[in-house]
Amino acid sequence: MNREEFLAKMQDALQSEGEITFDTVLDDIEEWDSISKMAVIAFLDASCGVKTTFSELKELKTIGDIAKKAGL
Amino acid sequence: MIARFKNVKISAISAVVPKKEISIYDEAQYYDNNVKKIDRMRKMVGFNKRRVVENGVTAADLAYEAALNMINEQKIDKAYIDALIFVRQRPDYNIPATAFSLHKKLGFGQNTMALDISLGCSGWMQALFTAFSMVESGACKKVLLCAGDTPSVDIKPENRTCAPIFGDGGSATLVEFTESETNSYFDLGADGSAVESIATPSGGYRLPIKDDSKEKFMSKLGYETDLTEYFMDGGNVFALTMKYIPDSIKRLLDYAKITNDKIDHLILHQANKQIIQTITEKSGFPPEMTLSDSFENYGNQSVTSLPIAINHNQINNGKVLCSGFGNGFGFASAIIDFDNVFLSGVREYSGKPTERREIIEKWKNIIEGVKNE
Repeated sequence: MNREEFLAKMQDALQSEGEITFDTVLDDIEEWDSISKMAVIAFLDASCGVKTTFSELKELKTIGDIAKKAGL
Repeated sequence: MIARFKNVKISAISAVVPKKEISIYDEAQYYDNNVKKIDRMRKMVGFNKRRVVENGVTAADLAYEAALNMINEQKIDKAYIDALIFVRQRPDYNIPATAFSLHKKLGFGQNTMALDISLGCSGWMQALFTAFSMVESGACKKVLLCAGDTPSVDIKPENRTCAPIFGDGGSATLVEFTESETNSYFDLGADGSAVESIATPSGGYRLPIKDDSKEKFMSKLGYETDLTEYFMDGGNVFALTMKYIPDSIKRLLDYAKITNDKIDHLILHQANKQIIQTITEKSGFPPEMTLSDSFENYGNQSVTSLPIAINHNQINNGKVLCSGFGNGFGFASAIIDFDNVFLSGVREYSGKPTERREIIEKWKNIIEGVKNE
């Protein structure tokens, strides 16, 4: 998966109405709720092979930070 | 642990759900009446409809009707059922085991032994393993495995972490000996570190219900609760599920020397759509094998979600990989060949609820020694 594919999959996983970019701040996403966080954890695990927890997710501030976590 | 069985099959699975249906769209007040918000949750997690019992109907009632339907329609001779198992986490009484009530109501004879197994969402799979073991050992030719749960009775509508998820249901499964060799494989395990992730803290013998355990306080998940209510830390449970289930499935496939493409149906405990999709993907199965519409139509029946899903999706033939997982944390996965398994379809409960005062009167009469005319 390259960075563009990651962004597209993230957009889909979050079911966010607004467009997301690597600079998008997570707390600014209207739909950044526990369901979205679970979706990110699930996506990182199933699609990227990376395990995260809710508390680890708290340390990440942007979509770019999540991409870094995914190794991208 | 991992196990293989050679002479056991599932002949029939019967499923019953209550008539009363709740749609998440009927609960819009909990989502600021924002239909788009509900649509999004429906798409991501699968929240949609669930079935709930009316007052006075128990898990045993639902399982009883499923068993009765099967016995009558399949013309099963009860004299040849060697064991009756009831797997549940909401028994009719603390004492005696509820399997004895089912034994009486269904009219079994003394040669049919009865026992309860107390488990949550891993229940049907672990009990199925038990039934398979009883038959493979030669001890039993036929085992009737009843299962049921009514999680809705312990969950307040205000608990939006749990209320939209859980539905009620009952089932009966006939497990029997087969001459022709048919290989079934089971992988089971447990992680007791999760005992505090899903629990009903007060109501057992460790913490009997008293005023102090009924004191209200705020859950970290944002709803008012007390210790007599069902609690689930969804994040923790999700992490445990992802830690154990894909590996359990892989272990099973390796042990059975079966590749993913040989599996006809992947049927997972209907925890919620998000987790089902994630496990399906992580376990190397294509997205089109994701089966979550039983969850979306009936909810998560915990103990008995798999028999309901099998009936809803009409899985009666083919190589089936099924997995159940839940409170404890307990898990069991299996690869079983389904060969013309009789399915009842998901039926609606037609029995009557019992009135509380009638039950009280009955017990008082028995214990006071009043003769029933």
